[in-house]
Amino acid sequence: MAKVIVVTSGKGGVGKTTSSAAIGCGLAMSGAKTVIIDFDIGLRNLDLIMGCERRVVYDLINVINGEANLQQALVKDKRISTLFILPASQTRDKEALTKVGVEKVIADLKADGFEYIICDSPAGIEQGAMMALYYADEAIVTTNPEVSSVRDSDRITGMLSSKSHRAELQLSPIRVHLLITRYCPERVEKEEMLSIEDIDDLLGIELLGVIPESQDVLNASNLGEPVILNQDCDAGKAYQDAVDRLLGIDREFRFVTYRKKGFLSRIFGG
Amino acid sequence: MTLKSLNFTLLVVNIDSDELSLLSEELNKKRMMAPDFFSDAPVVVKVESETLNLDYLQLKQRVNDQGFILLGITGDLSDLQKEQIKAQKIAILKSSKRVVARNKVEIDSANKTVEVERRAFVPVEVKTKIHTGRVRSGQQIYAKECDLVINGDVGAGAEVIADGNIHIYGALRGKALAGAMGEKSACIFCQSLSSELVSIAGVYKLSDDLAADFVGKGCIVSLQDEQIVLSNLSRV
Repeated sequence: MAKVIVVTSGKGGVGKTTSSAAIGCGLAMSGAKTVIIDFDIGLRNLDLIMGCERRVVYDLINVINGEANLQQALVKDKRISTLFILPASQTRDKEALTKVGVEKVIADLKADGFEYIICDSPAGIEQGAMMALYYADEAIVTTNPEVSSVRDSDRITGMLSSKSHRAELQLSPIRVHLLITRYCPERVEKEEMLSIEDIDDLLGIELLGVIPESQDVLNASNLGEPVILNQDCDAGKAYQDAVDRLLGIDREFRFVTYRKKGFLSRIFGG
Repeated sequence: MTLKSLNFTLLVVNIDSDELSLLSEELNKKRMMAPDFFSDAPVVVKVESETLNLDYLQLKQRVNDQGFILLGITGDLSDLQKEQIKAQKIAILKSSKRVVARNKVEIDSANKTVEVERRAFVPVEVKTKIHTGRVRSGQQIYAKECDLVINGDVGAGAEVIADGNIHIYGALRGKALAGAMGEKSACIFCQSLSSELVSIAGVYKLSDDLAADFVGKGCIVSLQDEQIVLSNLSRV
């Protein structure tokens, strides 16, 4: 049974696209046919993060308007054979997204055998974000450990339970997961940052993963290589753990406690 | 064509004096408060005493003159009064035992009192609205003419409003407004108080003004002498 998963947050710049790319890659690497749809019409970024920007010909809006078919618009990933990207339009605006259009695209993707349809939501709570979450079965709410991001996540979680297709038809509610990004245990220790417990207290959402703050994430974005492909770095491992949990595999949370570096390790590294 | 029974909220004017000019005066005052709202509004006159001897035709006329429509007369009426009312082709209404009078406005004029009851209504069977689950930022829950029970946290940026009391089995981090229609005896109960705003009958307190002793604790918020008062939930 195909699953539609929206990656959303309310607030901008918290790592929705980075997480969509990483989790999409992770799911595809498990062998499942996966597509990541960029819903950020007019501010498309996903193609850059995925490193396929030079191969974008048609986009989501072209497909919705019937100017191209799905096969023409899907961009196949060069690294993973089961991964596809459906890019956003850079020239249109968000009003071009319609419920009917999005429904048809998702139905066509399901008919095409896609098992995971990842919807990369734009920031905000307007048309684009509403369309990205409307047909979701599951949601990954991305949050930074700071109050404004947490409040926006609370808002969007409320939207998931009231403004979605599942809510309107009174089907079983969207399953919501929490993904904390840019977590820095050292700053939590110094009480400069909200802890996982604080966030859980404020949001009460099941925790899917905690991605540590890392320079590797920015480097990966600049290279167009989703960070999950770099299994030598903590962020890549943390994303892999999150994907495993999404697939139902139990994983212990890593990189969430701060250990002071000892004298020797400070000298010799590690 | 179906015949149904419906409940209505009606304006009731109490009279305990045979001086009908007081009735005119009172209705006029009422009308001036919201001329559009009360224009051609239905009104019921409640006769407070069996001994009153009124000119019912004149009563009807005075009500009409003030721009209201007399629906009927109610009260513990004597047989004589009933007869006189019937003679003027005015309906006699039997008020339900459960009628609740709220916000009584008493005006004393030359030792004769004309009393106006606002919002006399028959309470519906369900008197409490229950919400299960967290109320999230941006969500608003309103319990009209009843109490509100929230089984979960009220997040920052969320609003819970009730015409009656509000009970929160969880933390209050957003706004809670009890007694929204002006009920001053309404209270807010919560298990952990970190509200952005609490209000009772329009009197409010912002988070900055909350005494530090109460923040994060179980609290009752009430109104005493037009002031918001906090008290400890467990000690009362």
